[in-house]
Amino acid sequence: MEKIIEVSHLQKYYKDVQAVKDVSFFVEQGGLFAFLGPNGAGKSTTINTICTFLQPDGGTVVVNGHLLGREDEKIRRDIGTVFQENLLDGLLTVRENLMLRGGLYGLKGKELVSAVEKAEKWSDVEDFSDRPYERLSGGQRRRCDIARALLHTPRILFLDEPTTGLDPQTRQSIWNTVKRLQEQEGMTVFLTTHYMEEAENADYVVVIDDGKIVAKGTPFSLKETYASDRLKIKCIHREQAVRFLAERKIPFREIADYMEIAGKSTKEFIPVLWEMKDIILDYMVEKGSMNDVFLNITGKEIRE
Amino acid sequence: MKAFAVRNLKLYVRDKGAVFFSLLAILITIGLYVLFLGDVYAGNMTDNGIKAAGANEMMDNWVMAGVVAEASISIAHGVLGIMVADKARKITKDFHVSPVKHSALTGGYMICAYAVSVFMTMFAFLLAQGYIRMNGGAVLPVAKLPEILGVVFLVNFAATGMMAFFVSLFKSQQAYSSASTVIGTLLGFVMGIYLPIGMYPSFVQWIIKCFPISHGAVLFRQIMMETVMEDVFEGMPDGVMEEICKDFGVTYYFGDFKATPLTSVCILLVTGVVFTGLACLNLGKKQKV
Repeated sequence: MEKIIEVSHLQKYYKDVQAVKDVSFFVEQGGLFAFLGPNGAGKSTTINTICTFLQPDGGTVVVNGHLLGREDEKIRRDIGTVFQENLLDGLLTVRENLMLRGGLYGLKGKELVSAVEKAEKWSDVEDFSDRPYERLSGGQRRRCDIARALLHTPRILFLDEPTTGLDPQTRQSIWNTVKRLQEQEGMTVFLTTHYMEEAENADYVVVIDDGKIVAKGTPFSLKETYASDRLKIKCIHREQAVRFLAERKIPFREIADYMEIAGKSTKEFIPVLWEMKDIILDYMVEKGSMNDVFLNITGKEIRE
Repeated sequence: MKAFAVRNLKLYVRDKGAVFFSLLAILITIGLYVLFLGDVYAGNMTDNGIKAAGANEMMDNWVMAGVVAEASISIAHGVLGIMVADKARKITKDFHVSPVKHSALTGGYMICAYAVSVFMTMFAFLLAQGYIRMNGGAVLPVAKLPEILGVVFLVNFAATGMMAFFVSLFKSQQAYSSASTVIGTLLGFVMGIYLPIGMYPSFVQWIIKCFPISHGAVLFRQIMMETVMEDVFEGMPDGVMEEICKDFGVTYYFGDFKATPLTSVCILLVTGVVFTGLACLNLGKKQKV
């Protein structure tokens, strides 16, 4: 796989505060890349730097073969960005907005119209493209923002917390659109998110905290390393179960009316369950989630 | 740049509130004049032995010349408010993520402001002619129209430049609104249109004379009042007319130097060039996110 974004030893200061400390990672072409981190970890600073808003104070960034700082304009042609804020003009209709922003890329006439139509189709905004942007619902606006980012058919789509503040249903449908763009159009997707289920769907995850990368890998490998699987059992007689586990020196935690046993893999639980089958009333096996990964790495819960 | 200017135009026109408030300064001036100031000034003149009809027509032309000049700056100010709104709402971020030059954006804002304010200034001029006619005065002959057009283009160039620079200093909508209120109030005074310049102490007179856009008002006055003044002061000693011209800001004197129309034209031209340059410089700086 080709590397479409390569960040090496990136540093960024705000006066005396070092917001990004020596960050290096790369993004593979056509992949879905998730950037995780608590608030103030340096996520936005990193994204803003890659998107050419900020000049790095150290290190290099190469986007699709173009060096940041020297070929910013070429980088801007290769990337489409969906910001956290809604940045289209409220008083203009969706169509007017898209026509105007398409003009910023030098698109004109028929070329512009077909680019707008294509973007509208990709992000499903055709039904309300004649309505003023300010009258749309949050989810509809977000779709328009995505359409705007797609106008010039970018190679990389950046999404800065695209689903924050949306209801679960809308979140899902926005997410489906993003997935479709990645899978069917072969677009590379780079996103930051608060939602673990979204990070779970990524091809590759980088966790950043306090300006440094603290972990990276596929969701699966991260979970393998940083999250433990859990077996929850509810027993007929509590004392019996406690004695049983103590005899075998299996560590456990009592939570409400059940006991929780942690393990490296769910497979470990099979012999335990087998031996306990007569004293168990009910049981449940849980895979470690990205939330656990996050919690274990940063010591912080993901916040909204 | 053109497409971007059209966008700004659409935003301005669709925001009815913005259109109204950019006209407010003009409406206040006209209101004050129609309600009482006009009668006071005309009364002063008739006391000096000038015919009432002539005095009224002269004063109508005087105040309308000021209003037309004021339109340039207050409209440009209103349109350029979009620039602050874009910054405050962070919409500029979206512009800077596209491969478009800062200068093209600045140009788009300024071209739009210039086009709208030229149009509105002309519109104000036509309304002013209507008002003068209604009051029994004479409409400006068509032959004078090229001169008027020339001054309209020039004064709007200076006004757009000045306002673009002023607006480029603001980042928050609130600070800008507060400053706008102050400007809206002061504008009528520093342009010398609420009160004739001769009624101010000499220090304030200097401020007015140094405020470049007030030279636009001077030029409009010279064109619009020429005929009526010749009629009114016919057969009177030379000194009287000169004194009135000085008091009402039809001609400016910098000490002993009498400013000719060419002086005013040059002041406006230089103002336009310098402030447009400063605005571009200020807006071209790499934006911080």
